[in-house]
Amino acid sequence: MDTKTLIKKCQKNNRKAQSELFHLYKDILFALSLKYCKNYNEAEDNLQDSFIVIFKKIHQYSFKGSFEGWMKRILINNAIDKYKKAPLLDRSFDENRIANTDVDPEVLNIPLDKLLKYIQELPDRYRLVFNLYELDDYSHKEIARKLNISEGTSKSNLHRAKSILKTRIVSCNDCLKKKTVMSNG
Amino acid sequence: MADPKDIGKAFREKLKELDRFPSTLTWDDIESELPKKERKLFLYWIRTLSVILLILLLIFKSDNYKHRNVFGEMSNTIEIPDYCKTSNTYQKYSIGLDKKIDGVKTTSNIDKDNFFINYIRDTHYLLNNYNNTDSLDHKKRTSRNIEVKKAIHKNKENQLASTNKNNIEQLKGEVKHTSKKTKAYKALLSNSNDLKNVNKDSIKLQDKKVVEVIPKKKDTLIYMERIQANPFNMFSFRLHMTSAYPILPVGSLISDQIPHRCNVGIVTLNYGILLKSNISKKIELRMGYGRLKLTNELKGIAISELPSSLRGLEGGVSGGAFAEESKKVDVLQKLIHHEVSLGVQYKITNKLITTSLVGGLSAMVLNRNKIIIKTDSGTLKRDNTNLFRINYNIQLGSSFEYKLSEKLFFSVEPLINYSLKKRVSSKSFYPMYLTVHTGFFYKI
Repeated sequence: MDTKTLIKKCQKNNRKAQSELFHLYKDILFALSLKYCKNYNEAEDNLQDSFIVIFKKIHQYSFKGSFEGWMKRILINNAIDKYKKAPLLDRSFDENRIANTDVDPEVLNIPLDKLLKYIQELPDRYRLVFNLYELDDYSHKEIARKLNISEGTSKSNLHRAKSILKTRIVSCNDCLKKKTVMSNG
Repeated sequence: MADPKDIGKAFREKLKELDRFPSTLTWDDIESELPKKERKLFLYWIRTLSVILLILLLIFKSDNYKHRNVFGEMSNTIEIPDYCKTSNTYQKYSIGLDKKIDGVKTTSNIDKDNFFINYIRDTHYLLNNYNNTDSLDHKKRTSRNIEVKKAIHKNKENQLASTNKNNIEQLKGEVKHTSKKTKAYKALLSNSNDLKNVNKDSIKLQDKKVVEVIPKKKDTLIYMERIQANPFNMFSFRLHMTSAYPILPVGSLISDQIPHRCNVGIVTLNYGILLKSNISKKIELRMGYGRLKLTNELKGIAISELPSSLRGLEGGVSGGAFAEESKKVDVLQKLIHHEVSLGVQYKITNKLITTSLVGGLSAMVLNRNKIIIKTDSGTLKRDNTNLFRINYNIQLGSSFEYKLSEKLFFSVEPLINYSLKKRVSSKSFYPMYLTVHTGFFYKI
């Protein structure tokens, strides 16, 4: 069954088609959910809530644009709705504070789980802004509108998120080097 | 050493390889949270039965019309044998018959005395000229008798007509031709000035119970069959305006999304049509269609309390998001339904104002579901998806009809509507609303 037929059946509230759609997209959406949520359990909760919204709203999907993209937007919006009520970090953007957030690609040779953990451990607002901007191509204007913050705040949050990530990665690399030296020595 | 890279882009590349699978989440967890599937079969049967009922009503009605036309034709084309047409009796009779027919057609202007005299005259004519009762076939006799009975029935307030009716009840088996009747009839024909007296004499005859008189052997018997009331013999329709007011015992229409907030119902004005037909003297069958708008308002909601779907944060929802979370807004929900109702009406009193009890079921198909968020700077429109598309209600109430003319009635009908099934997925919400139908009935 092709995706279009599957969607049409889901729009008619066909349980079998809904189940098939769930199994088809759950892994892709779960990987996305992991990046937006704090941990594995919350990512699963978010995925469940998102699928419920998807099936309730699937009749609104008019086959314009990517269906996967449409589902991803719902999942992201669910996550935003969950975490956006975190304490407001409303410091204005200060260009003088910009530190260089470039890194040597080699330092990222650390396990994927570690990288994911660093993202998940970011403060809620920082994590949302970082994911939306860096991983899902939202502009600062869109982020500001979604999170009800100013564009300046969005830029500031992104920079802080990157700074934190860089610090962690560098420190992790240092630890790894030490361990390597110790094990070699 | 490779060139330094922005940490964001570096993360993006690395995380593309990420593939993790949910371990505990299953399809059952999702399915249990989804709204239950609509029972389309039930809806199918509701629609089918409604159509069948409508067709039956039309068939019964057209059948009734057909009978009426037959009666009309028959009353004007009573076949009189040629040998009778030459007689004075026939000529006199025919004059009387014409008057009688006019009288039957315009029942409000009927001259009751003359009608009764005509009745006697008519009966006597038949007795004199149709010694062989087979010469007037059964169908024609029956139809004429029906007409006589109709005229009597329509003038039932009148004592004379009432006496006639009683007489017909007594004559349901046979008409007895007595010597006294003959005498009265002769007087009637010989001197028109004596008509009134004859009439009185005739009434007295009725009072003395004709049944007690034993018919002589030579008497001619005319059989009059009792007319059975035809079901669906009255048919009426009403055009009405409906004012609707949601009564909300718990929660709100949008309580699924904004819990623990009480809202206010707003009166709306709608329209509809109702078809009604008698199935007995007191019971009427009703079928209606209407457009019904239900409106609720929640005042002073902080934007932060609104769910993302109302703030425009979810996918598929158009419109911009709010900039300030601290502001308070009013949320107005407008639900427009197509309502098809089926019910029964039981007459309690039938005086100047006819009072009836009304009960029934209705199916409501959600047509539009808009949520309007009012802010200081303007309004935003949103869709809401937490409602079932089809809903079923129980209707209970009363009906008051005021007779404006023979066929036109003014009607007021307050009804309480209670939903059989939750309208929203909220566990605490069972919608109930009051409707008042105000309109005019036209009886066919």
